[in-house]
Amino acid sequence: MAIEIKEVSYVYNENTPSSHTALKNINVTIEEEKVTGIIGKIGSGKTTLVELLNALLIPTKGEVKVAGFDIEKKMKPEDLKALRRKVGLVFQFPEDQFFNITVKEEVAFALKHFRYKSDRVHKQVLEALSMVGLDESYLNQNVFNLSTGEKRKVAIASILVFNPKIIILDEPTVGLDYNNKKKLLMLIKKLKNKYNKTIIIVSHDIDMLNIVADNIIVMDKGEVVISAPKNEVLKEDSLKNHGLSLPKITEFIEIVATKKGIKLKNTTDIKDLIKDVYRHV
Amino acid sequence: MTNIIEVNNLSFRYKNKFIFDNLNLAIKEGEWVSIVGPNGSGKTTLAKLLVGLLPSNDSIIVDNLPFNNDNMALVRKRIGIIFTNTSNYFVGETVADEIAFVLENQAYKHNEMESMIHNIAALLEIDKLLDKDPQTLSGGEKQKVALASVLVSDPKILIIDGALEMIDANTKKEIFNLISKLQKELSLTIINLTHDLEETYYADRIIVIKDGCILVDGPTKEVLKEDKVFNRIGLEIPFMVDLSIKLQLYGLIDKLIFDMNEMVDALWQ
Repeated sequence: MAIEIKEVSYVYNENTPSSHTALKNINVTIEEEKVTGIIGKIGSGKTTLVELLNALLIPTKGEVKVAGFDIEKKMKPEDLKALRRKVGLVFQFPEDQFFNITVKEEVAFALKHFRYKSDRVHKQVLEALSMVGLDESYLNQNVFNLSTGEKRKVAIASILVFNPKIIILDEPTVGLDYNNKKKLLMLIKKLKNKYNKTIIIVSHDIDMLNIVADNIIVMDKGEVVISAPKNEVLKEDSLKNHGLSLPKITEFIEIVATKKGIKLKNTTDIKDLIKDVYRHV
Repeated sequence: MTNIIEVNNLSFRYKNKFIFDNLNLAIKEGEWVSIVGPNGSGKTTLAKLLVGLLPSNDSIIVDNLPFNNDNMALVRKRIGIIFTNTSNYFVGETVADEIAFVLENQAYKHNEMESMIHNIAALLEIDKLLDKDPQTLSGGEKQKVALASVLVSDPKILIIDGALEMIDANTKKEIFNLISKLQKELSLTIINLTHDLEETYYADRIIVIKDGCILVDGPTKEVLKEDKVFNRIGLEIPFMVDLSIKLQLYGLIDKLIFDMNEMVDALWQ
């Protein structure tokens, strides 16, 4: 079931002197079982938008429909709980919010909150860890002694453990080096292709979205300015018009076309680009 | 040029694990040095040692002062640091209050503070924002305020520890160009600790560290050629460096080129 956002606005501290409009009249549909990237400058409203999707925030105006639920003030507590089982949100720097000592306790936290029985908790914790590529030996390790990449995996496992259909990752690769970033991108692909998850990634990194996203939503000053399949978004000048850069490889191909009138093939692979350059030089 | 920082036989242990074991390093006054390494290589620990947030037992000398408890205040005045998400720690109600915070802690007089704040705000092109609430600014403006808060007390050394990771590529470029301009105007020494090799384009020198040891140390354009080292330790080779190295193998260009327009002109002369 797609996520529908209709005429949505969100105002922080409404009717106070510090009132701030973060989202203005947003209309957008997020397709299920796809990877959707949300890109925009800091302060463009990306995080506010995704926090509406699991009812951490309630829209000031408009309709948000997620997994069959209307996100609104009068949601029943049982609906809110059911919604949050279906929508997992991994915050920016999630490892900064660890508050259990062992990996097992941290990953199991949500299940205990949802009152799962202990034998089921153990099984699901192991499954979630396996999905992110961590084995049983991690169960009793101290989360604070893990590497940065492992901590990020534990944070994602603690969301995967209750098997949400929709997974939202807010700036998932920030702070990760290349090896850890590559592993995370492989995990995202696996979650979509093998487990049919709907994945929403908030990021400022267009090169990363170029690799994993099917669709891209571009935000600027609280508005959705583009929402389209990735290839269409990357073709347009719109990213530049909103102060965002193109993926490096696309930018290079564009400069060659503009300066030299040579049309190189669009690709995400540098080896293909070099072969094409070699043919044209 | 004289050394502004000297690290002599520095050892630092966390619990039973050595993060640094006999590290030696010298940074010259006015140099821009990028210290790069993968997650867990010791970058942030080194940054904390350099600003005295962790004890270094006289192993670090800053501007001829050994970094110890007796010299702590003097040394800290010479070093400014910006971390990731610095703007999350804003405490001032206005940009001017935010910049004044460090000066108040250093007991500057009110009339002195005012001119210092205006001077640094003008340099960072945020003089029109001084009366605004810092929380309402754009990401790029917040970073400039964070920089102004650090630079207002006139440090000799600026340490940037992953501070610009959350910023989109265009804003990042704008901030780095600004830092580059400030480096010359304020005669700053800059130490940028990062795992993003694109940030090293601005540096004179790159030091590659892994597991607390220096693997490579040299001029930027020489070190960036070490693609095998970066592959081995898991750092992403920037697009333009990767493209340059591969096009050199095909004999199409003869040096590293960071600028895309320059690259296109070199290929199709």
